[in-house]
Amino acid sequence: MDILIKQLVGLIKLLHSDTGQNQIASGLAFGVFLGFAPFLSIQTLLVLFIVFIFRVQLGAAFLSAFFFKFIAFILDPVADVLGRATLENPSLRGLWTTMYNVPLLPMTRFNNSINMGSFIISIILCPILFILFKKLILKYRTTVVERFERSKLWKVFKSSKFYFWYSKYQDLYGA
Amino acid sequence: MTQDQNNPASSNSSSAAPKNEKNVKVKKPQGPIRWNAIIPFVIICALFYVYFFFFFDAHMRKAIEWGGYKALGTELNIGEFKSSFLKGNVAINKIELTDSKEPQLNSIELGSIRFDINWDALLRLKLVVEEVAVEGVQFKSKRAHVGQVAPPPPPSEDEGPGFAAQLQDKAVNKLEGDNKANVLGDVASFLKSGSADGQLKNLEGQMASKKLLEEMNTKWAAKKTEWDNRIKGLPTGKELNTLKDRFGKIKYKDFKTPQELEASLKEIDSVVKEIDSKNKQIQEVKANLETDLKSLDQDYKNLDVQIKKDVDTLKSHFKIPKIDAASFAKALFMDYLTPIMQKVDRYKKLAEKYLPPKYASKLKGEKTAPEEKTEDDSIQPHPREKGVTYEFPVSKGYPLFWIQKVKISSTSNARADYGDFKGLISDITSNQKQIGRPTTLNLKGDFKSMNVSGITLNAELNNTKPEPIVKFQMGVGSYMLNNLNLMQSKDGEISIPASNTSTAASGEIVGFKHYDLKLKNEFKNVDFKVSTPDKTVTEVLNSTLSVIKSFDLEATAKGELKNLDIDIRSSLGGDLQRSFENLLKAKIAEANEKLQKSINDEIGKLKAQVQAQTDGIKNQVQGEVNKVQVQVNEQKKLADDKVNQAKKDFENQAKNKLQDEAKKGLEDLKKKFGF
Repeated sequence: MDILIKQLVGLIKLLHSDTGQNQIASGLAFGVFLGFAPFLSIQTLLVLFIVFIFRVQLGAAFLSAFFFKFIAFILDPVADVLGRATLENPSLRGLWTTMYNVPLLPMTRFNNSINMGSFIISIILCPILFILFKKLILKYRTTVVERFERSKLWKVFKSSKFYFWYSKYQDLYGA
Repeated sequence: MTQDQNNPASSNSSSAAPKNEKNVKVKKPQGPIRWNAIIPFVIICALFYVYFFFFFDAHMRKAIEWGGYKALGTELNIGEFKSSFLKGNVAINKIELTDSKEPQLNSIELGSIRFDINWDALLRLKLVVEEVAVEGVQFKSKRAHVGQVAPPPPPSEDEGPGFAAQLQDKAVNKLEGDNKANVLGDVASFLKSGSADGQLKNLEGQMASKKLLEEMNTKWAAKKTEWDNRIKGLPTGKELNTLKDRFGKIKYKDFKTPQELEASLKEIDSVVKEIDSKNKQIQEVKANLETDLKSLDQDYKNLDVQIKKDVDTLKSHFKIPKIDAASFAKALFMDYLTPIMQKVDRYKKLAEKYLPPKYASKLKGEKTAPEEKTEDDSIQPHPREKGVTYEFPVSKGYPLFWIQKVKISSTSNARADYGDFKGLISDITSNQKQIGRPTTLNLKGDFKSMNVSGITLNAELNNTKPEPIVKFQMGVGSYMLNNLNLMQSKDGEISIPASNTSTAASGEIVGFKHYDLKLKNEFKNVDFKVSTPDKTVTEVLNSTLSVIKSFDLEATAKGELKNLDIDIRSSLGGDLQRSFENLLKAKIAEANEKLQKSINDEIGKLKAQVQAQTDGIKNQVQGEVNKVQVQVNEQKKLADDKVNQAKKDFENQAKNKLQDEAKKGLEDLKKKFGF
């Protein structure tokens, strides 16, 4: 829980900085996979591994996974239809049979219509959302953050002793 | 994963204090890989490797030893456990399982077990072993230290009777109550004493037939009094003579007027009515007598049955041996078969403990009830849709657990006394239906150093059908059986110091419920050892048993586990029966005669008394009733004759009178017409 809170604080900080928009956007995009895939499955483990190994913002990934879990729940009927259509497609039957007989792959539960549909949705959504989130982050920084920093309240807070010592601490020990 | 990775440019933020700007170090831009996460990951992997390399084998060895002890109840030792995760192989050396009866020995010792795990199956989360090699099989090998044996668990109340318990109950209960422990003991005891006069005297007073006779005596004494009174109530000779006199006085001829005839007939009628009434009384008495006589016959029949029962009871007290082959066989081989059945019980309990519940419940004889659906009224989160799960053709699938082959081979050498064995166990699996093959076991071998040869074991567990079927056939061609005790009691001992024995057992178990088990042993080159305190008895038994050089033993158990039909037969029983019959025939006949005489003496007097009483009733009452009946019948006949005679006489008289009148009329007419 401590790590999660730290990651969320980090996300807010990063959001208010000038850089790191790729990390946030990729985190949010990977969150789609986590949200749509079954909780205990090999693809979830694979995505988590990628998120941990590559410099992807974890807070963004978890926040996104939490949010997209609800979206996946609502989109289940759509995923079901899409999955059925894919799995029942005669031209793909050979592929599925091969995958079904290969070690590890059946553990993805790809042969379930909802899992397959959700996977397709997340594959399609992932690059789109990455670009979208990146643009949104830049937009957020240029509009919301700048307007906030120009406000009197922020200027008063920034000139306070508390902020001075906080900045000092951040320089010495902080991120 | 610290904040600085996530916020690499935080120190470069435009919002940072201007005073500190000169102190700010310009950090190198970080690459896409989170190295500070990879390093701990690598360290963890290295630790895992170190653990598996240095400690895993030792821990597995300890775990198997601990698990084996908990599961089997006897100490299990493993000399070495070697595994390679990457190669997927395991080698276990020197596996010793303590014998629970003799903890200084091993019940089985295996030199080594080696097997490779199929990686393809493991990646599908299935455990498949293509071949297990088991080498160096030894039985009853000596242990380095005395093995630990767990105390037996307390018997649970809901547990059904085991094989051994049923053997004890069903086979032994068929023997005579008192001499169930030892038929031969009774023979010896009988030969030794030859009589039981002293015992008999004490038992005579307890005979139920004597009590029954006393009751009969009282009953029929009362009956006799009753009948005496009844006889007194019968018509006496005087009364019957009065009737005769009355008949004599009645006029039965020369009636002058019809009135005279009518008066006579009235008198006759009155006497006849009296005779009928007396006849009726006699008939009633006769019917009662017949009922009592029938009751008397029944009493005598009951008495005979009771006397027979008393004779049997006295025989059992008297210890006249029952010369019966089946009884001999059961009594002699109980001690031999009970430990075998106890072993079967032990393995049955283990199977009940470790088999999947659906099979374990069948073993226990429980009926598996369909699961009841209980309504759950708690608030449940709405389940995510399940969708449709498609099954594609499986070209390479495995059951959860599958050992394809276990090759057992063992060859004796100068260093170790292994048996010479070859065997194959195939298809040990969690799902026979998936692979479409039953589990089979075929084993052949000899233990030459132990003089055991021709060991065969063929077994099959077929779970591909709705009801699982277990079939097995096992046999040992020849082995030396030492110190087989047939009888051991204070009366003496009969044992076989050594015999060349062969065993064949077979069985079929359907659905773990219906059992059909057979065991046949053949004992050859048998020499009996007899020792009893009495020299004569020893000589007699020696002469009887010395001619028996071989015999067999057949035991069968059939039916449902809770109610097995157990039977034990042996040719030794028949041989002993014939020998003892010849030897003891005269003695038994004499004893039976004595017993009969003793019974006759005891109840004969009383029986004679009862017989006299009942005969008295029978003869006296019957004679008296018959006598009266004859007299009454005579009177009745007389009355009938008289009536008939009177009627005839009156008819004749009337006829004559009519003829006279006609004649007279004719004469008058003749006169009138002048003839």
